[in-house]
Amino acid sequence: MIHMSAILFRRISMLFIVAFLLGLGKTVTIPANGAASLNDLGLQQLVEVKEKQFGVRSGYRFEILARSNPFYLDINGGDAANVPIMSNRLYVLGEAGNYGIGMGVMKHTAGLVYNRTNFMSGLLDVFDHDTQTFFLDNTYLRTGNWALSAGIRGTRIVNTADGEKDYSGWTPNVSIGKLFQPGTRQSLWIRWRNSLTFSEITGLAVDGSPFKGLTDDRLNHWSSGLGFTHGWAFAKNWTLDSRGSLDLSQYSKGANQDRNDKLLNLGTAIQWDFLRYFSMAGFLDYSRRFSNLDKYSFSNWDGGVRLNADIGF
Amino acid sequence: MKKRAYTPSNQGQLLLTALAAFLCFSPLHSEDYQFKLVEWIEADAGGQTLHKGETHRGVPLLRGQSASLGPGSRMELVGSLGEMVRLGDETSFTLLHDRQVRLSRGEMLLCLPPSESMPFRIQGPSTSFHLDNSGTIVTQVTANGGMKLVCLSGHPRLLVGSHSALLQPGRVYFLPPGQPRLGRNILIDLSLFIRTSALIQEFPGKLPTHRQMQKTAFLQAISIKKRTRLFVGDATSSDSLDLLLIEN
Repeated sequence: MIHMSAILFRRISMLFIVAFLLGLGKTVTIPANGAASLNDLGLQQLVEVKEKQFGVRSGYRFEILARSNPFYLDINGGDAANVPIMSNRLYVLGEAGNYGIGMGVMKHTAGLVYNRTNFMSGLLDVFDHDTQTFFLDNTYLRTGNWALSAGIRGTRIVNTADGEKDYSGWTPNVSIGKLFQPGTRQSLWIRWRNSLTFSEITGLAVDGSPFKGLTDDRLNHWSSGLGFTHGWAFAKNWTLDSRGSLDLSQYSKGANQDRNDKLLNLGTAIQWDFLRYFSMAGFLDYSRRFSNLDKYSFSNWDGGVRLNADIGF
Repeated sequence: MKKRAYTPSNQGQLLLTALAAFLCFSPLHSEDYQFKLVEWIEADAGGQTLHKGETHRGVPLLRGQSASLGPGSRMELVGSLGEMVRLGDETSFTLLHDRQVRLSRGEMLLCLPPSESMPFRIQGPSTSFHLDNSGTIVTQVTANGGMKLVCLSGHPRLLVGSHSALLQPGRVYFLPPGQPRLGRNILIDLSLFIRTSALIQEFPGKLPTHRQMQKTAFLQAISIKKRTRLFVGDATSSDSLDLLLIEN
């Protein structure tokens, strides 16, 4: 009655092994191209669902990368600035919700992200910094794979050399997105996002500064942008993730009055999930900013490897 | 005065009269309850769906009548109380009585609207069950003579033998042959089922419960944490079922 090959044992989850041992039934192995003939009634694929309404996800990411323009300047910063950069990130996310409203479901997410960036050169270690982020996100997922989100993000940048807070800001945001699934192994998110940033930048706007307009709020801006994220599981445990976005920003305070930027971001990463909670990836990112104030234009390449550990419970 | 003798023949007349009176004055006259044909489609040898035209629409299926469908043929019928039935190919379906049908072979989709009337009874080759409350289910006669049920929306109540259970959307239930009882049940990917079911996809019109089904499938889809490569197959012996493993 119960016939299972060694190959089958490797392929099915422990849950089903237990079920089989309890005498659930027998298996028949069929080729993938034979599955289409089963659809008179509809394919009945066994799944496990998450019943709980709350969840926690935590992780760590290590990156080492080469950056062509470490300070995002419109001029060549010189060879001295071209040093490897190390990044260590810890994060914890709390999720609640999954409750139905109308034709959709609401999810709430709160997260803390701590990121330390180190320039791997003694000359540049005065620029080492921590980026601390807190965010709240409320997403309404609707049938048809539409997602409406509203949230707020708070960011602080602290110089690790002197402990000074260089920047802090709050960014309320709203977005609308749609998920497309061209096949079982691919997904494509397209999203339009709008945000307003209220910020405070310190360090340069000191008394007696020869520069004009370096007010604390000069980085306040609104931004609107279209972006995509594409995921492709092209082989077992291997995925190719690509993303791109074009954001328009308008500044109105201090030295940045009437500044308008267009920021293009493109990136791709090939990831290998080598253990249940661990993965590594190689990545390549490109950024280019066009600003009506030339000194804020730049282009930059990032390339490197990263190691991820992620667990959810 | 001539006394009337009670012979076997006039006893028979009395019984017939009583039966006629019962049928005339029963709350739901047998001729009132029927199914009417709404859609009849056939797929040709190449799998192309062909519609049978408009002329057949409204043709009634009365009590005691059967619909036996050949390969590639599918039908949609609507009952007097708003029940919608879709029959798959190579299906044999009989209207037995008010809200009572027999599925001798094949598969059937049933949309039950909210109703205060009696439970809907489905009789298989060697088991039977009743459904109460509104909802959408697909049922199939299995190779062992039992039945398989897939709940697609709502929370219909299954009454089988002396047992009852609220059916959960996205779950497959097996009813073994013989003594009416509820067998095993398994959770499946509802969205995939809906996308690949001919009884849902091949017909030109949408089901009355289409939005509810889509919502239910969506809510399940975002809660799925693991998909296996195992698919539910047929039930070939009295207490076991086949699981199909799709190879790479």
